[in-house]
Amino acid sequence: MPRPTSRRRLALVVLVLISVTFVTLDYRMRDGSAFSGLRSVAGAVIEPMQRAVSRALSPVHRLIGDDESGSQRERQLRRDSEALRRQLGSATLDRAGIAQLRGLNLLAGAGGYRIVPGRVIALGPSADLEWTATIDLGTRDGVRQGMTVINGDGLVGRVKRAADHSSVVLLTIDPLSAAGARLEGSGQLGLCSGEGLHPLRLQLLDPNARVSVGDRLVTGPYGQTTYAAGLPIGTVSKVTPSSSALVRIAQVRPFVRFTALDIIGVVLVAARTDPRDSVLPPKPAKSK
Amino acid sequence: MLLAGLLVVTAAVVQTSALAPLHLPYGQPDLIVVVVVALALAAGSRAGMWVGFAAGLLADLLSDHPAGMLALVLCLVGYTAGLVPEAADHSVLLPLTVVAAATVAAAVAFAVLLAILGSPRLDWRVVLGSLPGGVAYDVLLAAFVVPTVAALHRRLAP
Repeated sequence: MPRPTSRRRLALVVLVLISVTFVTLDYRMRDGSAFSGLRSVAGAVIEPMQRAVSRALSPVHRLIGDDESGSQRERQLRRDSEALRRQLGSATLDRAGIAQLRGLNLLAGAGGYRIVPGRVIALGPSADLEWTATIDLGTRDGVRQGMTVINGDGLVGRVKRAADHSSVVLLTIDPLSAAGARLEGSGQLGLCSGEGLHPLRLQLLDPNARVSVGDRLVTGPYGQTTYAAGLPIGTVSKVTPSSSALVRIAQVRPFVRFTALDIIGVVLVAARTDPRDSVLPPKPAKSK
Repeated sequence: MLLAGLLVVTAAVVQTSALAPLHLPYGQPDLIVVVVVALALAAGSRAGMWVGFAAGLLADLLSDHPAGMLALVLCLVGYTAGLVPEAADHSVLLPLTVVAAATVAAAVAFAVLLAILGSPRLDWRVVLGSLPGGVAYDVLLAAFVVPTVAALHRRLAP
């Protein structure tokens, strides 16, 4: 084998220096967007292929004639789902897809949010550390940076970058994500930050706030970035006795299954009035 | 050149739309690393470092971290993998060992860069915990990818 020539080593050094320069530039200008142009070009080139691959892999069947007619409410729901389905652009959806779409539709209806439905077509390449997803909706569909993303179960994330036909969503479980949260009932405010596949970390503003396992959370008005209010986030699964009396920490199990994201909706217009707790599903009856 | 471009783009698409959404247990396969190593083994360290740089930059642009991090990591991975003697052509074990080593090196180097930047995303438990699965999946992928890339390279760029 040929020994690496000094020219080749020089080329390597140059590439390394270029990479380091890129990192420095992009890190320094985090929102000055040194690479936003390149990022949207790369996204636009790859997005049609991602769309095709993800479509092909979630085999979808045309829904041929729905069975029973059902109640008035069910018919209404079906009509709404039909409208959303047309917007979704794919006439073909399997049963699971239809169920997800109905859930999304129900949730949007309950809160009075105006949404545009779409699909997750890709995840970030550095999975496990970075929790982002690419969706097949972009500025052409009315999506803008900062908009809230939901599915039938609740809060999914926030639009980080929107290109023409696709957007990148920062998922709620990403460690860089922090959503303002409000406890059901008591209305205590806090901040819910992501910990990857571990439960979300809830930090309550009031150190003396009462919080117990089973309490549910919706998005609230607090936090650096505002999410549409009243969206279900999750259930408190563990309360950590605070060592420092400054903050109250709890773990929250999200309603959304982030390892099975498929159909999502971007909230174009939030509810006119804060829906408070009305979007949460009915509390499960206490057995035992 | 054309071959490398096609392979890199294909790897990025398959990685983000087909492999990542599977959420396999014990770690994630990384097809991009496998393809970079496969090309480096077939075409040498010069091709390896360029392909690594390009593939890394593409992955960076599709990610949410500062651009250049994966370009740096994969450029070094491609260069180093390309230095492996051509005896690799006749061995089955050597390419798979190189892929395994590259997987570990890439994951750890990326984590170190995150640490240098002080990213809240860095979680060593996750990084180390997903190494066994990552290596196993990558070696499995390499068993198909390395011979295919070598054959394509022989045919298209003699």
